[in-house]
Amino acid sequence: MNTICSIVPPHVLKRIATNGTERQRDRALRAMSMAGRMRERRQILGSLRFGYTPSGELSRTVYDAHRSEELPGTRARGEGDRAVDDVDVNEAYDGAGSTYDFYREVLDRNSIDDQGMRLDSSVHFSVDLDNAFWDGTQMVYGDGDGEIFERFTASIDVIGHEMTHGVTQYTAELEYRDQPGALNESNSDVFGSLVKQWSMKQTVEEADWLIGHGLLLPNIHGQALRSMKAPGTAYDDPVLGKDPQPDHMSRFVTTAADRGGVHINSGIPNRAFYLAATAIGGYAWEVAGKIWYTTLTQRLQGDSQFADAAAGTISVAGELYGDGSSEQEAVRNAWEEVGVLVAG
Amino acid sequence: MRVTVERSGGFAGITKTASVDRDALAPADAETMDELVRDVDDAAPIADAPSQERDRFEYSVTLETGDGLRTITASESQASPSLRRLIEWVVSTADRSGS
Repeated sequence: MNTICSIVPPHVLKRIATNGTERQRDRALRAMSMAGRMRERRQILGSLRFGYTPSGELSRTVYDAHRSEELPGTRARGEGDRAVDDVDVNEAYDGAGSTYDFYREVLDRNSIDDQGMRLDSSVHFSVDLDNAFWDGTQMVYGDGDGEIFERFTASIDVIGHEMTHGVTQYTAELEYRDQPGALNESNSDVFGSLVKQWSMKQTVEEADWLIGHGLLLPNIHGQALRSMKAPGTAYDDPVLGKDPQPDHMSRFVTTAADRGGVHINSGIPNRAFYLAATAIGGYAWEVAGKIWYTTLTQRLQGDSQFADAAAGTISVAGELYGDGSSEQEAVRNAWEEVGVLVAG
Repeated sequence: MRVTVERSGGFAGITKTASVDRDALAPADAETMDELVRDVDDAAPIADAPSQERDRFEYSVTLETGDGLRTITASESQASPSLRRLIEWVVSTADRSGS
């Protein structure tokens, strides 16, 4: 810790935090955290996020919310800091790093906004919270209740899922309801799963295609929260109930809950991705991942429906690999198999 | 009077429901229920502000009275303090009575 900053007057810290180099800024923000100047710190972070000059570097900070609902909490680990004595903090840090590396190396994207946006995460949010979420600027993780759910940092695809909500926010801006919302959720599952597959160097046959594997405690009858391979089969438990995801348009769920079933009907596009990726074979991120990413960032928009995602991925596959290519056929067949397109 | 709380969404997308029937409550609890419901009635309507939040819980609270049904929906972070108090009370009371 540098003690110099803590004797610098607040207005100077503010100026450094706003205008300084990344290193200076980080120190100033840290000093403001230590000095309890959280409100000003948040304002500066907010404005930085808005007009942030690209650093081109990975810049992670993990905060501890100490079981409160105040964000971001106190700083627990910053970029380059050694591991700390808190597994949640280290998992959030490592998972953000793997996700950043995945986007950078595989998809040539520099962080959430493609401008090197800093990656902030808070752990220990609220009390025994069975959830993880993206708040529009950062990742947030609950501890889980300890009876059904583990801590939400325990599964790397959850971290990739939350960061991808940020990517979608900066690209397709898919509305968070009904089919656009289910596409928003599905893209988070697709890239969350790809982060895991890429970090473990798994082929399509080796991958488990599960979302949230390891989040359910051993006494719960279930292997994960969602299955991209077989939506609707991830869990079946007396307390949790049964996985409600459909695997085909004929079983599309019409509901007012969950903003029109955004976490439910995502099973349909999830399975389309699984089918396309396995038909193409090899590593899912190399071909299918690129097709889906190009579609998310260049074809989809706020009100896009499943049929738009199908048309978009088929046209992108044609551009990248040729019209009538086996890759394009694999994508078309996948959307037909889940009933989004009618075979013909 | 009956109050039903449905929580949906969240990363897991699991929908849970809890319900409390005033007739089944001890007098003191029934009084608490009346107060909590009255507070919600008095609270300003919840603005459905556009939000960039993703994977938060969604609440749907249904108040079933002699006058009919009234349903209030709100995302976790947009629920008013009085609605949150009612939600927490219904969930803990329903847990206690095993309904």
